[in-house]
Amino acid sequence: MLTGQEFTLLKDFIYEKTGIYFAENKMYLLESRLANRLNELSLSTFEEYYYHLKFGGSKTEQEITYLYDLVTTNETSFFRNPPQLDAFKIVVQKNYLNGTRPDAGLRMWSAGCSTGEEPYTLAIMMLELFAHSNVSLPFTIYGTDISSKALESAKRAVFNNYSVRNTDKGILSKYFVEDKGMYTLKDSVKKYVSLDFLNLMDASSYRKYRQMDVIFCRNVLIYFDEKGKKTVIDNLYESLKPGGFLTIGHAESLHNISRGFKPLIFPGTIAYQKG
Amino acid sequence: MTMKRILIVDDSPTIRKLVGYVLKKKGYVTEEAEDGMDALERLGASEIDLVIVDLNMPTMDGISFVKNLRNGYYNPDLPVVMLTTTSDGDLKEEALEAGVNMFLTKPIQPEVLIYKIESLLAGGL
Repeated sequence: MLTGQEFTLLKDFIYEKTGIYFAENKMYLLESRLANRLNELSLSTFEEYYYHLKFGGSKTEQEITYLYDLVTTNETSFFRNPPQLDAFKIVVQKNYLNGTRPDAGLRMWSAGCSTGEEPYTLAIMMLELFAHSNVSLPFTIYGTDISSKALESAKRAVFNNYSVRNTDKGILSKYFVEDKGMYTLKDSVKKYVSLDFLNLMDASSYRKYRQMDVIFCRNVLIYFDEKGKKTVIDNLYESLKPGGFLTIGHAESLHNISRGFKPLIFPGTIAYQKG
Repeated sequence: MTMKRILIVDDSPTIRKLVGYVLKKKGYVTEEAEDGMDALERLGASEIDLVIVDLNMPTMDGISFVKNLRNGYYNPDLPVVMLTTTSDGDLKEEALEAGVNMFLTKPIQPEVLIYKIESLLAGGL
């Protein structure tokens, strides 16, 4: 059983490393997530696990990678939250497919991409927009996550029924190859998506992700406390081009977090534009 | 008849409570927001039939709120009532241009509030 003292040690350690905040009422959640790992390592108490993390020498780095996998949730699916995706479509159509071409093409980023459904959804949507408007432009979609396990899965790009449950049949047959209930994304979509590890709390790791036109960072802020949210949002703000757009989770808010963004309202959702 | 939803935007909890009380008594469903930014986020998250917004608020004032609302892709016919004081003459001009449908002068008289809202929701005035 996880004691209060052990919980404090572990939650502070996780916060320091990731910015992910486990409130007191999440003690049980943390316990259940770490329990299996303790078994695998044949450790009998959470305190031992804490020392393993903190003073494990060469093993520490590797153990932290496991920890990242354990403390994040990978709930996602293709075409999640249609109002936000419709807003994305409007943004692309009005700003980029209207004749004024961005020189370097479109740079988009799915920050906290988990197993890849979101960046791949955006790639499919871009290809569909091109198909319907007879206009196309170069684009790259970056997908980053703190969980290496989720990223490996994203790179494999093989999805189950549940992942594609909101995906139109036409889209499924056009961009996926089905085999025994599993759907493999075609290379013609995969090639637009570049996946990599990133810790959103680490400002220095944002260097690669500058001059973004669009950032999706949905259901990620929920992991952070107020201070962490501010840090992440400030970092994302820096990563956007002037006039670039940020989309956060539908239940999340930038109210009292950032004043740099101009909210742009769409049917059923809101996007934030860098001023 | 489905209940009409009204969003009350004011940084004063007292005004929100007062307006909310009057509206609820008439059978409206109300939501509250404490400034323009909060209000836009609420509009993005739920279906609203009318907005009552104060002119002066921190973070995002009433006029910036209406500008942002009308620049967006939200229902352009969403009625907006702005709460003002009698001394806000010049700003009223700016607010109308931004897309406010009607003004309501403080202190608020409940009968006037209800009359104006009913007319607006009926597509009048």
